[in-house]
Amino acid sequence: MTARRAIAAAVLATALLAAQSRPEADPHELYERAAEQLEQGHLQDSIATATRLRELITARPRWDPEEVFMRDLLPPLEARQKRLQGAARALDQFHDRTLEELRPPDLSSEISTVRDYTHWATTVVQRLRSERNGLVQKILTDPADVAILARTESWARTERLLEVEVLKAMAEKAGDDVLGLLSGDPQLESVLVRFRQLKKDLIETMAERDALQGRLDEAEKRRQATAAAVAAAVLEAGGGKKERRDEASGVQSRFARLLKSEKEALEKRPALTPAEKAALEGRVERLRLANKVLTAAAIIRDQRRAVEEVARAVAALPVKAGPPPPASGGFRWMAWTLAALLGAIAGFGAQLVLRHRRPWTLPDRPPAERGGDVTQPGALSEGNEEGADDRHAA
Amino acid sequence: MRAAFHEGRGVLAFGVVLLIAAASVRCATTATTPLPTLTWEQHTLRIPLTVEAKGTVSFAERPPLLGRLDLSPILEAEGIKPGKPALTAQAMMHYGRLYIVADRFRSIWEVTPQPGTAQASYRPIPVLPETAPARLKDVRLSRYGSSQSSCLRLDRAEGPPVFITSAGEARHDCP
Repeated sequence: MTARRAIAAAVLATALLAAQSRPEADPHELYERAAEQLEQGHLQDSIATATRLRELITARPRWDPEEVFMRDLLPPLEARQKRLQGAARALDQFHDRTLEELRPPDLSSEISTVRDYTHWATTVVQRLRSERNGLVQKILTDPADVAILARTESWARTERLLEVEVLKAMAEKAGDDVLGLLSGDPQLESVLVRFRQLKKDLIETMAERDALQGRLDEAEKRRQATAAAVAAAVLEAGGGKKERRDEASGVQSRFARLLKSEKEALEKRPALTPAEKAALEGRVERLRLANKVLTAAAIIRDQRRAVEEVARAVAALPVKAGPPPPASGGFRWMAWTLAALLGAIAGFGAQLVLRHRRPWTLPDRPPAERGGDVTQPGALSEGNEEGADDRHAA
Repeated sequence: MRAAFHEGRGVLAFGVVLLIAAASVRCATTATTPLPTLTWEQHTLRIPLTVEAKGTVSFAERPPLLGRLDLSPILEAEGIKPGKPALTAQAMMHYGRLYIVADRFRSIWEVTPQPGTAQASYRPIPVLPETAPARLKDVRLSRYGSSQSSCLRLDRAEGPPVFITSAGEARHDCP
């Protein structure tokens, strides 16, 4: 860290030394810079530099001993700047006014209208060009000044107006169909080229926009899915179909609803057993954790207050006296075994009693009754046996 | 004989005196009738010059001055050989004399034209002592001062500006 600071300080000191060792701009330097900027068409920069020169020689006249700059060099430069600035302003006004007044003819599907459009565009561009040139000639008489003006931003704007804006206005009005109908005319080839370029630019822009929108949608879906997964994992609740569908966007309300319903349910609950209360307290802890996780993931706003209300509702629940402690596993096993033994003994005992009762009942019953009464245990047993033999024979 | 000799010497002396007087009168006539003068502030702005391989510079690109100036003796005195990369010098006309300087020089060179000839006298105005290892760097010539007595100003890296008066004297200020 110290080494970095030392290096930074050294670099800064070097830069400061370099800045100090470089002499301040003198009038000649400023004059040459202003003239150069003007030649390049950078009007505002040139004016700013000339202003700086005037300020320097006014404040420190010793830089201009015979007032060569003040009297001889600066005034013509400033006059030229002023002329060019006036011309540039006129061009700007021409541009704005033309754009406002540009009204292509109404669209019709007839082919003659296409010709009308072509004629209109050609005529308008020619008229505007000659109007622009006339305006410039009126203000600037020196061809050198005109050459400088042609390098300014104002001139470039009028050029764009003539080359692009007029045709664009026509294209917007006439639509793409015109392009097909215009092709083949050599006189309009430049117009078509420009049209195609505009169309290509537009298509590329739209394609880029669609691609970006697609990526945005995909990212949004992923975000929704992630939020939904987090919500589902944290809230541990199923929810209906609709609720699942807008899980990501409705996690906030869903969690709030959950807390509210928990609280209402707790308020209606009667006294609890200690085990039930322990289970509820565990649930409150899970709700606390869910709130923490979802808040940290910025999926919901902090619901700590509602969670604590649920916790208080759980704490306020009365606890009733607990049931006898559950039997141990070994005792329960023994009880089941004993019960099974008793059951088995009872079963065997009952069968034994029935077998001993059968000889007494047979003589008292008629033969038909004996063969047909299948409800009797003895008859059922015999019949069953015969039937069983028949089934075996078949 | 002796008297004649003395008389002859007297005549000779008188003749010499007459000759001297006549010469004096002639000289006095020339000195007392000077040519009329007019004001001519003969200055230029800074002129960047590219030194050619032969050691000459051309003013043709910077009218109204034209013609060539041979800087070879100056470069030799400064111990600089013209070549690649091409040396760029600066020149400025100040009260009719041309002053030339360049990076790696030790002096400003004053070149005084000899009217009616294609020759000029020259002399160095030392800025750095010859024993100093450093050379001039990032030099820039300007004019500075009042309209009555302006100076040629030399700005440079690592040093205060140097002023050359109208008499060709180097100073640390412009009077």
